Amino acid sequence: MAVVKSSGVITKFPILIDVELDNIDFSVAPSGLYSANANTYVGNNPIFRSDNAAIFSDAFTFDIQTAFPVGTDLATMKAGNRRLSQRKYVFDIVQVYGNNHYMKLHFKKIDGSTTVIENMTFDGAENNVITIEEYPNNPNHNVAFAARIRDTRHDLTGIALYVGFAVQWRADNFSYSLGQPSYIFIQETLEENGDQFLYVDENDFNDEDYGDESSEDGYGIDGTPDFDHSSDVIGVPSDPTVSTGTVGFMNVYNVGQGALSGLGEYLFPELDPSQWSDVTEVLRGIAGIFAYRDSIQYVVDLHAIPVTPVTGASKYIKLGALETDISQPVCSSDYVNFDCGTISIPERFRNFLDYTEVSCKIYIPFFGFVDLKPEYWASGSIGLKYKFNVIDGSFMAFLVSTSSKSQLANTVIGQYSGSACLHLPVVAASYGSIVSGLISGSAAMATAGTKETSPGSVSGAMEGAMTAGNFQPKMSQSNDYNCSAAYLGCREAYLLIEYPVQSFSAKYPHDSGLPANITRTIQSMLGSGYTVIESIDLSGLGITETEIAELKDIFAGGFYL
Amino acid sequence: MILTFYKNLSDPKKVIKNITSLGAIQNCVLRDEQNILDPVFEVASAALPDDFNYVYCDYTGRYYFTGNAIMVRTGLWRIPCHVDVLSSHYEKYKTVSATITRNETVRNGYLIDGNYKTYAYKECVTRKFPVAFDTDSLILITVG
Repeated sequence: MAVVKSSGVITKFPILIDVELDNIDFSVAPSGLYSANANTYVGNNPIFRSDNAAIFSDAFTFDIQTAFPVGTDLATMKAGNRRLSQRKYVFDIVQVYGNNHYMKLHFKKIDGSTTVIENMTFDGAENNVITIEEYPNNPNHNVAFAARIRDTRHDLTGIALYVGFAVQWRADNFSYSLGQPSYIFIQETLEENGDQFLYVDENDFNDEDYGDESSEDGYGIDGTPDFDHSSDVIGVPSDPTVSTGTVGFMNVYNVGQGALSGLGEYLFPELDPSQWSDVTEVLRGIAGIFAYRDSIQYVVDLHAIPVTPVTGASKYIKLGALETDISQPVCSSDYVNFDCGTISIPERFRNFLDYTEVSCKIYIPFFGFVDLKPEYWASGSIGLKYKFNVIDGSFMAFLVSTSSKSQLANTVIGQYSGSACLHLPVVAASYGSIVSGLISGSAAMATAGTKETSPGSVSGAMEGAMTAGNFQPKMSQSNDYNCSAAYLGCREAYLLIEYPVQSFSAKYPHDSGLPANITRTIQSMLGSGYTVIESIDLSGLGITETEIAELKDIFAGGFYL
Repeated sequence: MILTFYKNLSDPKKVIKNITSLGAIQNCVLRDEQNILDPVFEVASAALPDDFNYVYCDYTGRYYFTGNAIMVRTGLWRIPCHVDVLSSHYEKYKTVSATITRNETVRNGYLIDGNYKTYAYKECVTRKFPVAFDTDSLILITVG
């Protein structure tokens, strides 16, 4: 059998494809890529296909080698009175991706010399096949080819081709009259998986693989994109350079509950006048009470946040000019990044259902539910990252998407602001501010939908891709200074996915066919089963109009090839 | 005019049909004005082949599906037919290139298929992100 190997990781050219021919039963005439009577391929799958624009530069080379294993004595592999004598190599460029199709191919035989065998200019014409025949006298003759492709207009983004290798038998007396040519064909399909090409055995395909894409899509002249449609990476931003520490007036401590109790006792010690022995101590004690108790005005805020701040060395808590004897870690940064991680969910059906019939919401802790298009996570991953402001508990949540279908790579596809902060009353005034914050927070909730569609809360890409209504939060939390409701909410981010339940009849492809949308001759589709051709030009064939009308009705209604 | 009789085992909409020849009869005519797409052949024969349902007419160069044969009198049969355009003209249209809208084996599953069936209800699945908020920190901010 023929074994096709790629060079593994496809990151740049040259690409080496080894075709090892081993264990060939020359007594059996295989069928497949080449028919015995007409030297035309009938296979559908290119042996090698690459459409990853990132791996192409303006000029590149790739190597194709077809060779019997070194040391193979082909003379011992003969069957009957026939022996291997002629070999045929076919390179068929079936598709080129790019705005223009002008490129040069230089095929060279690598056998000590590097003579150019044939040049070909791909100009979009249908026939772009190079057939090279070898008549080696030595049955152990190994041959390798190199094909160099130069993109003359610097716009080539991909290429797909068939590689055929045929072996023809002749008689020992070198007569052509004995036997039909037998062809060994190479039809393995290499399927892109990330940066690697993996083997896909045709026999493994079944009804569950309904999602396989046909080798052509139906729009555009030949599926060539009109522009470079790859995405630029839009990542999570870095922290702002300005922080409380740079201002210099504020002290931010990550305090423990025990330290808070100690601070309270420090500021409001129990008074014991019996210990005041004279007037001086009485005056000093009264002055200390007012001095300490006035220090509470220097407490700006005390609140809880759901993340651990970045802290440095511990310092004594300062309240204005008063430095207490209670030491606590100082927050060294106003900002904390929190990563909820990434979920990778493959396509469930591997067909259009994964995108048209699947609906999804993401629950963003401290914010609520947000609708999420399947294109942003199916066949890829979706991540959720937060950037918290320790000072006021506000945050920005970032949805980061990677999806091969949507051409997204670690791209921020949504940004949502909120507040996850539980304010704790320190003095009566602060409690009053919390109550007023509750009222203002309710007002903010009432206008949450409007805020959600503003440019500051939704990325520009999302605005273009989705309607504003999809982004309106289905569950809102309060924000600003009162975030009690948000703080009591579920603290785990999750996806809520609604999958359709498909009903796939085993005979559905036979009875109804599956969407194909490819251009083929009817002859080339023989044996492919149920077929629908909605429109076809049958003029000039010498068929009566009545029969043409009937043929078109049959084609449009479905028939069997 | 020669009519070759066949037994067709294929679906009428099959291009290359699985047919078995049951023999040919030479004494066949088209009486009066006849439409070659829906002709009625007159066959002078004592008997017709058993189980035939498909014929080929060398004069029109077409294959026909046959209806119920009518014995006009002893030794004369009338066979109403309808042309099989798929098989009769295959050699003419086989090289025509067309957009294959649907096919049994060549398919692109990512094209929307309006005929595909799904249940009325959906399955709801939840998938958690790996890291949850599981801590609380107290932040004290003072001036000084």
